[in-house]
Amino acid sequence: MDPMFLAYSYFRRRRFEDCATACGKLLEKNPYDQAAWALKMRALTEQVYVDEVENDEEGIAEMLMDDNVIASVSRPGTSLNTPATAQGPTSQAVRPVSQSGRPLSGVVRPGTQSGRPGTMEQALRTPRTAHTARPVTSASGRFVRLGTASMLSNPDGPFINLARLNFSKYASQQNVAKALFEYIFHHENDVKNALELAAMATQASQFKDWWWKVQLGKCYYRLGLFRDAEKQFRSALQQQETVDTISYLCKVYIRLDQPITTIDVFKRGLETFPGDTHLNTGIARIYEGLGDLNNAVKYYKEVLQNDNTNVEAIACLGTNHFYTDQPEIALRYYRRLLQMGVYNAELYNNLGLCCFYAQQYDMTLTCFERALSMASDELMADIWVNIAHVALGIGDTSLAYQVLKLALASNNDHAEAYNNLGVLEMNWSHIDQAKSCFLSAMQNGPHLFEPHYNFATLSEKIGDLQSSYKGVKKSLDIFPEHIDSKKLLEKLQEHFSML
Amino acid sequence: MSLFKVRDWWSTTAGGEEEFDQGCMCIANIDNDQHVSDKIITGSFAGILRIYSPKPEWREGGTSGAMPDDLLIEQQLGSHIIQVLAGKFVSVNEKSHLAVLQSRKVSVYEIIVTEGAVEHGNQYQLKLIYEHSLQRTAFCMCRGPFGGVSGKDFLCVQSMDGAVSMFEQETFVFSRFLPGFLLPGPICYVSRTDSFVLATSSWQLESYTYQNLAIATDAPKEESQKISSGKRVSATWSFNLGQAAIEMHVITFPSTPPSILVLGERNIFCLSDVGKLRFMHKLNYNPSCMVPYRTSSEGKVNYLVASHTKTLMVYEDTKLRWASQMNTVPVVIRTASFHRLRGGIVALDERGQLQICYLGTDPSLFVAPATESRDINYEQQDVEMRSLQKVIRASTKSTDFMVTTGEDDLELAAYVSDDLDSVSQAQNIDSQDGEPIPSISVKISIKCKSPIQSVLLSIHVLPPLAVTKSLFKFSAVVETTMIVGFYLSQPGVPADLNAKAVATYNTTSGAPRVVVQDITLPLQLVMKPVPPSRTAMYKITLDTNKAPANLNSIFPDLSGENSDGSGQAIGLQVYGNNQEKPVVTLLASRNAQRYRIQCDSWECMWLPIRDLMERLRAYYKQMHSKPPIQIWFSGNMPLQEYFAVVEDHFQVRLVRERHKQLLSERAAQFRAIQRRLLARFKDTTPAPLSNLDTLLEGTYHQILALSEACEETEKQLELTALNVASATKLLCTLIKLAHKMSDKEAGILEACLSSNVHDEQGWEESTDAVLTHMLRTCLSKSYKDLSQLAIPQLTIPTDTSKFRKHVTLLCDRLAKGGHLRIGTEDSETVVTASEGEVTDDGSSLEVPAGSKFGERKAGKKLAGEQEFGVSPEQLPPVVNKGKALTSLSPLPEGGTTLSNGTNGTGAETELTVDAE
Repeated sequence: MDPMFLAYSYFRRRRFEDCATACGKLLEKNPYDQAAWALKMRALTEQVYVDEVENDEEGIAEMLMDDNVIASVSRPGTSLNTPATAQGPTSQAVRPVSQSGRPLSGVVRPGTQSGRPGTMEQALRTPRTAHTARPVTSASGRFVRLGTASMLSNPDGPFINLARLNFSKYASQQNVAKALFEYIFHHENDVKNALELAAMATQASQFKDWWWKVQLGKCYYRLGLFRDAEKQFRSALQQQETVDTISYLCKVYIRLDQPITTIDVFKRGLETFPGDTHLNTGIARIYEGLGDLNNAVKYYKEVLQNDNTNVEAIACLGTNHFYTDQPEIALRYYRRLLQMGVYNAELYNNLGLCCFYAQQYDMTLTCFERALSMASDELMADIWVNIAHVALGIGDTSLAYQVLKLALASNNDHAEAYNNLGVLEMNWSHIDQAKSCFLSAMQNGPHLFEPHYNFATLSEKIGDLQSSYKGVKKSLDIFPEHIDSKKLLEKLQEHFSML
Repeated sequence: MSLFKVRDWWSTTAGGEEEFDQGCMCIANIDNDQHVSDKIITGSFAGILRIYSPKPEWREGGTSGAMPDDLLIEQQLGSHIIQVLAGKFVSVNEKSHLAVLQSRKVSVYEIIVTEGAVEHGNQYQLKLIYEHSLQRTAFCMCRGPFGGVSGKDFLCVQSMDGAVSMFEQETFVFSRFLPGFLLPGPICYVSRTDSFVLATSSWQLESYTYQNLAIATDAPKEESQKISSGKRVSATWSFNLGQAAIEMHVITFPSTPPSILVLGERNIFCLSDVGKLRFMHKLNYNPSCMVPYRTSSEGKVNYLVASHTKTLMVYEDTKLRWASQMNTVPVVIRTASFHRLRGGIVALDERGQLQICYLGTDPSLFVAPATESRDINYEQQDVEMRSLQKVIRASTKSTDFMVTTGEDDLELAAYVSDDLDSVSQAQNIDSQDGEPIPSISVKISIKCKSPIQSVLLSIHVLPPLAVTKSLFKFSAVVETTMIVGFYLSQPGVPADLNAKAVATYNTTSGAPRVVVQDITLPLQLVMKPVPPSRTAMYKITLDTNKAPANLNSIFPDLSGENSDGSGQAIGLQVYGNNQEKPVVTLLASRNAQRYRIQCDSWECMWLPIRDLMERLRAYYKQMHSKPPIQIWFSGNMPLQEYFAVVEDHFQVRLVRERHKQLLSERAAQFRAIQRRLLARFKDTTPAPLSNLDTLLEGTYHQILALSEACEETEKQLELTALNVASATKLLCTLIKLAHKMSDKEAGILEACLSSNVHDEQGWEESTDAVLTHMLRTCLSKSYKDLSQLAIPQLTIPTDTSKFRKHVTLLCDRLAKGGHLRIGTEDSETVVTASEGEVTDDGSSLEVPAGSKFGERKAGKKLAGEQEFGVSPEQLPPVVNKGKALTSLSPLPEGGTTLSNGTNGTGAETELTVDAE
């Protein structure tokens, strides 16, 4: 059998290792076999290919030295950085927020957990846990790892020596250039060279090939030149609208912190591609980030209309139902996920909580048991905290106390656990312990208002009005609509005016 | 991921170790049967052609499955089969014939059916009608009525190197090279426009009309397959896919507009047959193959897609209509109609697993694996629970974490050799004058009753002493000894001649154990005998109740040849330093019962004094003299000398703080300049740097210089810290001797005036805090003290005046008969004392146990709270629980894996890996 045909057949069946070895043998015989060369390139690329649309994580450097944001103090509802201003149906008291101050989402995506910090100290502290000492560093560790991983698979050194490649020659050969570009971009992770090639190639094609423009835009995006990227994507869209290009353009706008524009672009894309799941999901994510959950739910439902197996949409809808006091319906969504084959600790944890709130107590503990048996260390703490919550719900405070201690044993930085432990200690009149718990909670969870409020209440009761005032102020900074904090503040102000 | 799985109607394995790919299956009524029932034709890379006619019976709970007589023909055709295709390939009739593509050959076969006897069924035979040998390696072929003929199918073969060859049945027509060719892709014939559509390696879809290809010759020469060049043909239209195509189909169903359906690597495209995009759909999985199928819905394109995640998806345009799980990853799927099943889905995977299935609402319910379950004996568990709770309660009540241990399995012993090593083992010494530094060997032996796995032995010694090897690892040990050497590695006088050997291991039951063995090193390791000097700055006189002993007999190892014969004076000097290092002289009085120690340096006297006292006690004990020797100190407390040492240390600390502050300022400046530079460089319009680069370099040098200075200070700080430790010990000893304290009291004193000079927490302020506390509590004279002596802040003070005042006050109070008493009558003292012992630096005294906050703030807060004097009974009811608790964070992690859907490509797959 013709070895080239066999190599191609391996490639088609996604047996990339076999394909690369077969091509390697062909190249040994004839080093100038361009077809084998191109095929090997594509096989190597496919091994490490990651969809660029989803691949985004901001490092500290990008966040802190960000000068792309148009308005540093933006109006409420127009920026992803100043959320919690939208008077949505959910408040922080009902639906907790993530570290970035946005309401919790149903799924973890790149960038949902680390918010934009205000200062260097916060940036260095927040993403760091007891488990990872390093904060998310610049240019996203993921990119770097992709590059190095690819080197490992070739112990004899890189397949192509980029430094000695004649870019202008290949740029004019459209049939090789595209594969070569993807190889450089995805496998070698060398954005600079990829950009050079793309720039030459788009010139060689007389700026008529939208694909090259999209690639140029991708390179610019990676390099942080968002305005240039936007130009390229826009130009590509004029030639040919594709879902990918729209998604890339929206990514640029998200980075520029322009959620309204992003939604506009998505919606215009929906006119061309009605009902596209990716576009709908994109819109839903942004609404979720803005705290506009009504709209987010609407678009997630739209996603399910077109693709009823979409895990993200199901999970987010479940979350939303859970936090809008419909645990029974949330339970059904999560059950559907379980039936579809999602099998992990998070899901069982959520199922357990839903069961608890839906008063199906018999299933609650079983679910948590399963969740614990599967959980990783980091997750373990969250699950224990939820179990503690169940324990509080059934009035077993000593169980709750011990469970919270277990949560802290698995994650020493768990702010919620500290807070709840503090409340328990306060209940038992252990003032010192309660205080130190609240202090720990404040340090570890700067996004939580509860420890501040609890601390304020405690201080107020023992007569330390000054600390109480400070605490309640902070609590209101984080969550301006908190009624109890407001009441406490009024009470304190009365006290002060009496003095 | 889907709720359902496909239902199996019929399945078999075509071949054993054979390979199949995209072209290796086709569906046709190949034997031209009257009942229009489709047959499945497969051809493997091993060259075996098989034809199946599945006819399973419906039965209770399923079908009868594959029968041996379902296989009509199985024949070896020589070389590898790349593609099989059915069509009207013979000119004489319009019956279905089979075309088989092999690497260098394309052949057309007829299936001949011979009616057999009733019981044996029909007999099928393969009859070769014609074949063409190919000059180039073939890649794939397509068929169609090229040129618009009716009732006939012609063949077009695409070769690996980009030539298409046309065969009008038995005759070869022409070959053409395609422009810009590198790797072949799928090819299709569109009959409405009489053109070929193919996906090129520049990731475009191109269309060439048959006519264009046919006339694109240079000269009217004889057509042959052996072409090496040709005129460039141009495409009638092209569409940029931006990705490689996997499979392509032309849709000619009457209900749908004519279109071309392309399965790309990441998207599905649907184009009209003139190259206009009708719709596209982004896939979030890796597709393997697809096929369009005919439905009655008007104007919609329906198709099936199989993915590498073993899922079969049914789409109507871009809407997902159905998804169900498959057992394999198919390389080709088709729909076919059989006698008892219309519209069955035929799938073939690369190992030859051939399956006909249909979509049913058979749920593929995911069954979670059973957790480890056991029968619970409730009584037993209750007992266990109760006992565990007792343990928990006990451990939370008492702050003591002492675990009573049984006998240790491992015995650790250390023997210090009597003499210094003849050849010194000292390493890496920054000795200034090349004087040899002695070392002493210590033999450490481990003995176990039973073999113990993975024992870790570490040897700790405080600088300036050092050990040759500090860590030993044993994978298994029963009995072993090792010899290590101790030596002075840095200039300075050690405050302590103790070292520790610590062995850690797990017992067979898994409990961790630690065994500690103290090692006491002899004085001669750090001091050498020199001629005694008569004059010195500092003198300390110790009184005893015995006549002075001969110093030569007390210090036999250190008397040396320099001492005078009478044994009344000994000179000692610390090793490893220049000659200016002060000499410590021990003098025994001739007639009075006293000893004198004198030296030019205060801190050097500690070790000789300690040794002298110990040796004297041992000496008289050995002589069995009654009453036992008593030593006391009657002079004035030498506080000024002590303060001088402390002041030195404190000054160095101040210098360090200043350096640190400067360093952080410079670093901030450096970052600021960097930021500005970055802004400059990022600017689209270039601007002059305006000397920012010079500034950057200057700051850089400053930072370097400062950090060097910092290091220097650190070294100095270490040295002075040692001095403070020695001096503190000396002071404690003198206080103890002066006031004839009991050991218990002395212990408290040593805990207060800690000789553990820490770097992280300022020694001065922490010791000061402890002293203040002592003065406020057990040494307080009146309640005035409470108001006068404020608990100091644990921040670095501006000077040591307060510290001095408090030390002086402590000595005064002790001199006036104060006692450091621990008693149950005074609860506050109890707390202080016990904590003072638990934590040997005073600063964390008032921090509640178990708190993370060993910080200053916590201490302060609690102190403040004491003043409020709130009793626990007055405590408020708890905060509104429902609102105060935040624990409702069930979902933040919902998706590390949730979000990655069915796909294997997306970024989120990476995420999962990351998270795991």
